[in-house]
Amino acid sequence: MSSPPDDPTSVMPGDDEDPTAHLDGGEDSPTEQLGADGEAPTQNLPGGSEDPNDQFASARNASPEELRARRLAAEGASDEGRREAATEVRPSAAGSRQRGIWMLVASIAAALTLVGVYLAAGGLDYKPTAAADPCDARVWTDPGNTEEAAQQFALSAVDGAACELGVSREELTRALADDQSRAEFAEKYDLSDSEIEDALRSGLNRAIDDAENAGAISGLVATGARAAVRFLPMDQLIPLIQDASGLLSGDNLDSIGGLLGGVTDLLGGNGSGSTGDSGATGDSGNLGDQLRDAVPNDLPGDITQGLKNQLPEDIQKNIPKSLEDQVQQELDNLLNP
Amino acid sequence: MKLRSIALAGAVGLILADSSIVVLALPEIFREFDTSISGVAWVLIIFNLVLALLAVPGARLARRYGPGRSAAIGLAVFAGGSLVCGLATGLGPLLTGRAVQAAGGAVAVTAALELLGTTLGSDRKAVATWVGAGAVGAAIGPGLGGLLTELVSWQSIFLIQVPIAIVAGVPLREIIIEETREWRVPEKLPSQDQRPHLPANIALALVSAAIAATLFLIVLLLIEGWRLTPIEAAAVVTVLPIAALFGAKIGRSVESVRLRASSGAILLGGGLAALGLLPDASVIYAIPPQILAGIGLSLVLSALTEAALSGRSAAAVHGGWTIAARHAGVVIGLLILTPIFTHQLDVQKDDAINAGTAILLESKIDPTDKLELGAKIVDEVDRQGDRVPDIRPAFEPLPTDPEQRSAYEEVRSGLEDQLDRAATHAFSSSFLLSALFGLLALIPIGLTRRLEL
Repeated sequence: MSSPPDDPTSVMPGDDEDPTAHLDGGEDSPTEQLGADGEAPTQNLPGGSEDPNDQFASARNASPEELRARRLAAEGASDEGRREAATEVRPSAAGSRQRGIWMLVASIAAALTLVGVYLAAGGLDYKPTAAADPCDARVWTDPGNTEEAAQQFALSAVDGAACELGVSREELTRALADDQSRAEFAEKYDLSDSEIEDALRSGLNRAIDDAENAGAISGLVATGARAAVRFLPMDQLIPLIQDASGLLSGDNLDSIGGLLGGVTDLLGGNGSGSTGDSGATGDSGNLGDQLRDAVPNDLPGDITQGLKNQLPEDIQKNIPKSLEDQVQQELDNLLNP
Repeated sequence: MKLRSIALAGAVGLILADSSIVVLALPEIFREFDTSISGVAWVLIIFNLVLALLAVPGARLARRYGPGRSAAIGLAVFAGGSLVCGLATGLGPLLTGRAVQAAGGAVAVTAALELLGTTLGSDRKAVATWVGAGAVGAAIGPGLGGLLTELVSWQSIFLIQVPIAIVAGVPLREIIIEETREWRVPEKLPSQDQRPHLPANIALALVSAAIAATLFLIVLLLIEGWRLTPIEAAAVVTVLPIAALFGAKIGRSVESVRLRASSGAILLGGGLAALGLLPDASVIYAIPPQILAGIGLSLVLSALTEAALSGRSAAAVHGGWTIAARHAGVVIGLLILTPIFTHQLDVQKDDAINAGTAILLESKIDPTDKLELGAKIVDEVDRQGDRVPDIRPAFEPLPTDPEQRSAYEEVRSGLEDQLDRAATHAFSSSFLLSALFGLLALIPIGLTRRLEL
């Protein structure tokens, strides 16, 4: 067991001379440091049978290791244990506090640096991409072929319908996958079938507008499609959204172009639209605009008749029945590809 | 170190490892018993709850009947509980076994502290060994559990503990004989405080709530979120015990308990905050926060336990208080964090599905195939229930047309990225809350002067 040092300050941590500066952050009284917190000094000393004054003086001069060794002795520890306890050396007092402060500073720096680096690397933004607002205008890229045009048409249509319903395009798309999904969707948002149907019509009209503005369909096709959209039931609206390639395919456009070219001829060959071979663009011309502008809100059920009714009466009289049938047939093909 | 000390340290490490050793097995248990994430969290919660409740009574038993006999009986009960867990065929028996394990463990761990003090002849060494064994056990636990789950089965985690617990009790036979011959209940020394050290124990509870998140959430993130195998996850979380050992080493060079505890809490909080701000679903980003958290937990746990035991008798009882505080903290952490992150998982899954739908809609896959693929993905998500779904099966077989095949692969990759984002973000708020727990420990650490030894 090491002998007690003569100078009590020599067993205190730190380099300076003031003993209290080394005690528990410097603010506690020396007596509090001798044992349990806040207790009378004599209570904290081992060997309660000794004279308290002697114990206090003895404890004041003893190193912490000695105090602990005495306690172990009182508790009946082995000789080996007492020897170990007496020689047990805590980290060197000199510099220990300084190392502790450095450790604290380094810890704060390391924590802040790591958090800062992760924030700078985008830690706050690493989450699923937010759904786009379906009410935002959709920019159509130049459709390379009918499939691409059909895809963009579908996206515009779902955007329009989702905007009308106040849901995301993605959720509506999943809702339209089958009857069960649609029913669950309707229940979730407390929507009736007619509300969903109206929204789909609105979406399809937006898609037709977008397609027409992008030059993917002619004005005449757009007019016919709008008319069709007004009257098709929901069961046929959904397939039209999902795959509008029939509407947008060159063959149908050619056919419709041909048919409407015939109408143009009936109008007196005003040269407003070419016929037949114009594909996905062209053919809108004045006739298309006239027809679209002429289509009233209360278009009758029979689309062909409705279109016919928009023409001047003298021209209507000259339209052969065979052409009417052909237009009807082509529109049927168009709407039910 | 004597054989007995090694056995005691091993027993403490084994028992306290059990609070985390099943973490990597939870996904397997989750699937096998077809339960919920909240349900499977109880495999952890019940152990920690019983340990918290019985640690102090267990320590009093050890004082009354002798630490040697108590430790031996505790280890035997622990081994019995482990056997029940290993043979469990349902969640109920497994939870029962876990409770029995914890009951035995509570007695054995607190008795071990008393025995270590006698065997090592030094309270400081005893406390250091006891805390170190527990911290290393808890930190190694997940990795070890992951290895066993991957290589053998989750049941092997428990079955392997049976012989280890029995072997750890063998070196106690001399003490048991002595205690059986004569045992007197030690008298309390009037010089020592009998009350538990409240600030240190409160700080321990807060820090342990944060540590629960470190161990539990990291593993779930790696396996369920990022779809790593248990063995891969084990390799990733091995950083934690290595860092904890390093933390123990640097902690020895500093005397001040308060400085060590503060540094530890800050490092733990910083590491957890960084885990809450992961910028990518990459294991590389998961390493540095674990290094900080590992060093931090080692520093703060040892410092606070030393403070809680300093100048107090009996060691076992106050050790019991620290165990109670730590494991109560783990329970509180799990009870608060589990519902938060499971709710977040649902929210983020919906967001990921929306983002995935957008990717599919914008893709160059043929419209009719797109619809079919979308339906297959939805089926796959539904089939996998609560889990972060693995959507790869929905893409099989890939089309033969190179252009379409490329479009499919692009969509799959985009969907997986969205799921990674969702899974990572789902854990974010829980990690940040855990960081707050860790940092809140600074209040009891800083506000009391009584933390210095």
